[in-house]
Order: sequence, then structure tokens, then C-alpha cells
Amino acid sequence: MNRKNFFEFLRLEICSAKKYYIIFFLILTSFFSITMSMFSSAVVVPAQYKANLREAFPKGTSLLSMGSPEKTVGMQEAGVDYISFMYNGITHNASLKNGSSILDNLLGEAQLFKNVFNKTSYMSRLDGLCVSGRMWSEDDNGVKNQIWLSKPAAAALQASVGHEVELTGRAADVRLAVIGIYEENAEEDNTPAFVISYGTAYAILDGVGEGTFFLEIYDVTRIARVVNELDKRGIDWFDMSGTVDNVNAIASSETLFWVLTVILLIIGAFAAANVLAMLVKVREKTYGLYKMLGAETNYIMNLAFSALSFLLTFSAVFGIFFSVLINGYFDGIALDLFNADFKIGLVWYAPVAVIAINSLFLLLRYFRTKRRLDKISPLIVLTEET
Amino acid sequence: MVEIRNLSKKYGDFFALNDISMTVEQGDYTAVMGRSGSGKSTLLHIIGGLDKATVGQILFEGEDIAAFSEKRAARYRNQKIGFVFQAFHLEPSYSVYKNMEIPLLIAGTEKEERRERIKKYADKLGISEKLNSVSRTLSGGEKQRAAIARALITEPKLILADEPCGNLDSVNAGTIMDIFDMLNSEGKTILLVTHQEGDAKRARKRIVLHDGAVMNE
Ligand SMILES: Nc1ncnc2c1ncn2[C@@H]1O[C@H](COP(=O)(O)OP(=O)(O)OP(=O)(O)O)[C@@H](O)[C@H]1O
Ligand SMILES: [Mg+2]
Repeated sequence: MNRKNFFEFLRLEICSAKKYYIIFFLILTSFFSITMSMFSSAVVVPAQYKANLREAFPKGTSLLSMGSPEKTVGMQEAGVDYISFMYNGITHNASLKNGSSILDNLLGEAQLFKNVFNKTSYMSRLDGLCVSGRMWSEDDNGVKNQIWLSKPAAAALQASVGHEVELTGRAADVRLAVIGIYEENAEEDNTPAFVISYGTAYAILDGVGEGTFFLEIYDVTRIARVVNELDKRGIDWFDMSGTVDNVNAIASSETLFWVLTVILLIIGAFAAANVLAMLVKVREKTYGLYKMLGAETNYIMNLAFSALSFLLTFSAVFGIFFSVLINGYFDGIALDLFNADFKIGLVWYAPVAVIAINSLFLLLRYFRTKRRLDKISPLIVLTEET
Repeated sequence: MVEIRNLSKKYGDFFALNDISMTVEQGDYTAVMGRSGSGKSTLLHIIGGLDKATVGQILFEGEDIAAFSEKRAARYRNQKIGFVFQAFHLEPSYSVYKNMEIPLLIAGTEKEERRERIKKYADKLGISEKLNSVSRTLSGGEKQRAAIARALITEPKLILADEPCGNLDSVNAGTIMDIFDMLNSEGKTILLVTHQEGDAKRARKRIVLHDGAVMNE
């Protein structure tokens, strides 16, 4: 009806129903603080554990596995950074397209450690010309189809820059362009290196049979995903560092945190939404009286809704405050019990998410409550006092 | 001021009011009498826009209140009607001041004006001392005077009183009846439901309901 006195009426409404508002405030604040704490813990605690684990394994970890090379194709998607393939007895030839077989029998029988993806691999004792090498994956930043060669090999190939080089293996013929001749200072023995593409490497290895893999994972926390993928492919593995169980434990605690967070979030939002309905229920007679004295449903609804919005805002602010306290308390416990010195803190989007979901539920409930309020007859005032 | 034409109110198959026609003139003081269950309260509720008639018209200053929208009906109750009930129906946790303030807040009356009006009607009904008391702590007579003060606060033309002395002792009842006399002498139109022959005699007119119908006037 009249907006002019709305806030004065609102004040009257809140003051007179303070009993209910205090109860609702306490309920909402508890939910807010617990949910926000849980939310933050779900984000921060596993992250902290993971960070600690990473710190303990700064160079990552590795798994040992057996099989033929193609079994590991695509393992980079599961989180593997580097695969060494150990295999004895590869013979390959490399020759220029124009027929001059400069590199005939260049790659002699040797032990081959091959990086199928994007890091270093070594070829040892190939033929004296090329002692160690590097291979790069196709998707490595721009270094595609390149061959890095040892100095003598480079000298031999110098003339072929811009030409196509044919690498022939037992099972595959590979063609690639020699883009440039590079020299690399290999860290260990200062010997030059060569680079061929992943496609090349794979083609060379194709069909050579079974060997041993080292799957290197630079971020130790990815090991669970890799193991999962290996299991899916039916590849046996051996966890040399013993981190798989650790990582799995973190993952399950993370899941538990999130399940609790979601449950709390929904219960809390449900509670908040129902506070509006409860308010209308417990204030039924008063609202009937307001109607008798000339207030419309809309006016009363705005009154209840505004009062509740204030309440929610206050509860949210106090909820944030308390969840900081709660998390601080658990920081202390973590320090005492596990000697784990980490700060849980409150991630900024925990309150945002909690408030957003609560507001959404409240808004959905608004219309039902309004219909209910609409049905309250002013004559309700006349029913027997309880 | 109020003209009722062929008004009926049915609850299921039961006629609480059955084809009532009557008029209330400006300044009338009418006692509504009749046995319990004869439909007195129902009639008052319908006139006051608290309840809807099943059939018939209720013209208030020429307008059919049965056809009012919710908004109109609310405004009508706020501006034109003052309700007084046997059980007072004050908001028990509010002070007398706040109880009296509600209709004015709804009406959008300015703060100063509200204060003046509340003071005026509290003085008039002798409850100035009690303005800041929580209304549940008042005596029955004080509660009813506060309720009347609230009914008068928006200066409505028509006062609908449903057994206002029903819960009061004879001394307090006498005071309340004196107040109605005074209000009527000041020009308020009053419709008073009562069981007391003595109270009814103070009114200038009387209608008697019997099984939802008007017996005589
Ligand atoms: N909501 C309702 N539903 C069904 N019947 C009702 C309802 N309200 C009133 N009645 C019936 O309508 C009839 C008239 O009721 P009303 O309250 O108007 O009587 P009354 O004359 O005021 O009686 P009393 O002197 O006891 O107050 C009664 O028989 C009552 O039972
Ligand atoms: Mg009655």
C-alpha cells in the first residue's frame, strides 16, 4: 500500500518478533559458518596435503611397467610427463631421400631409452657417432619433426638441410624433413644430442615387442590418475615411491569433504528458504491482524521478506566471521595433532557460493510462501487464542 | 451510508445470513441483537470487508464492497472501518502505542501526524499513561479502550463493534458504553452487536437477527 513508512513498519516488525528472528539468526548463522568452513576445508585441506606431497617429491615420482610401446600411447592424457622405454636390439637405418646413405647403420644395436612424449631420452652407444639423443613429442612447443644430431652426424648431414630424410626401421619407414642441424650441450656428458619427433619415435618402435617402461610423473599427485588409467588398460605397474596410497587417501578425503559440503549447503539453504515460510506460519495471527487493519498481502510479504533478507545478511556476515574462527581452531588442532603447519583460512568463494545458493532457494520459496500468506484470512485474528 | 441488498452468506448448505436487506444511515447507532449463531458476527464481518457475501450487495457510500479487489478492500478496512471485538485482538507483544500505530503505518501517515493522532486518541480514551505498556499487561478495560483507540486512529466513519463488553465487568462495560455514546454524539456511525438489553437501549436503532434473517427493525 504505502511505501513511505515501510522501514518504520519493518523495524516494528523485527523488534516485535525478535524472539523468532533471534532463533532464525542462530540457526542460519550456524549453518552458514559450518558450511563455509567445510567448503573452505574441502578446497584448502586436500590442496595443502597435495602441496606437502609435492614438496616431498620435488622431482616427481615414477611407475615401473612392462609392455609394448603402443600400450603407452596417449598416457600423457592421464598425466604422464615422460616415458622411458628400455629395449635391447633395435637396428635402424637413416638415409637421405636422394639415396646417399650417409647415415646407413647409424643407429646400431643398442639399448634405447626413449622418451615417447616430451622430455629427454637417451640413446647410448649407438654407433660412436651419436652417443645420446633427445626426442620430442609432436605437440611440444613448435619443435616438430626435428632431428638433433651429433657433431659428426651433423657434419655428414649438413648438406641435407631442407631435404627430406628417410629413417627406416625394421617395421616402419619414416620420412621427415631436416629442419636444422642443432647442437646441444647434454648436461651429463657434454655430448651432442639429436631430436626426432614422437611420431618418428613411435614409428621406429612400432612392432619391436615388449620392453620396460618408466612412467615419470612430475606432479606426484597425478599418480593416482595414471595408475587408474594403467589399470583400465590392463597394464601391471609397480609403484616405486609408494605414493599411490597417499594420493588415494587425499582423494577420498577430498571427496568426503565435498559430499559433506554439498549436504550442508543443501540443508542450510533449505533451512533458510523455510525460515520465510516458518515466519509466515508463526506470525500468521499478526499478519492476519495487519490484514484486518488494512495491509495487503504484497505489503506484508515485502515486510517479511525484507526482514528475512536483513537476517540473512547478518547471518552471512557472522557466518563468515565464525567460519574464520572455526578454521583457525582447526589449524591449531592440525598443528597439535599432526604437526601439520597449515592454514585452512576461508576461500573467498565459499561465502559467495553459500550466499548465492541460499538466496536462490529463498527466492524459489518466496512464491510459495506468498501464496500461503495470501490465503491467511484477516478473520484468523478472531479464532480462539491458544 | 451502508445499504445492504438481499445479502446471503452460506457455509456449505447452511445459511448463516439469509436474504438480509437493511440500511445504515450516517450517524446511526444501531444495536444488532439475536441469539447465538444467528449471524450477527458474520454480518459485521461482511460489512467490514473481512469476509465475502455469497449473494447480494453491500453498498458503502454507493460502492459495492463485494466487488472490491484485495487492494481496495484493504484500503477500505484501513480508512473507512474501525473494528472493535469482544477479545480485543491487540497484538499482545506490541505496546499500546505500536498497536495504535499499525493502521497509520499502513496508511502511510507521517511520523509527526502519527504521534499527534495517537496522543489525541489515547487522551480521549484515557490510556495516555499506558501508551508504552506492552498490551498483554493491560487490564481488560484498558485493552478494550486501547482497541477502540486503534479503531478510531484512522478516523473511520463506521465503527463495527462485536460484543465489545462481552469480556468486561459491569463497571468497565459501562465505561465502554459511555465511550460509544460519546463517539456517536460526535457523529460516528456505530453498529454494535450485543446481548445486553441495557446496552441495546442506548442505541438509537436496533435490528434483531434470527437464523440469519432480520426479524424486525
Ligand atoms: N467459517 C464458518 N464455517 C461454517 N460455519 C460458520 C462459519 N462462521 C460462522 N459459521 C456459522 O454461521 C452461523 C452464524 O455465526 P455468527 O458467528 O455470525 O453468529 P453470532 O450471531 O455472531 O453468534 P454469537 O452471538 O455466538 O457470537 C453460526 O451457526 C456459525 O456456526
Ligand atoms: Mg458473534
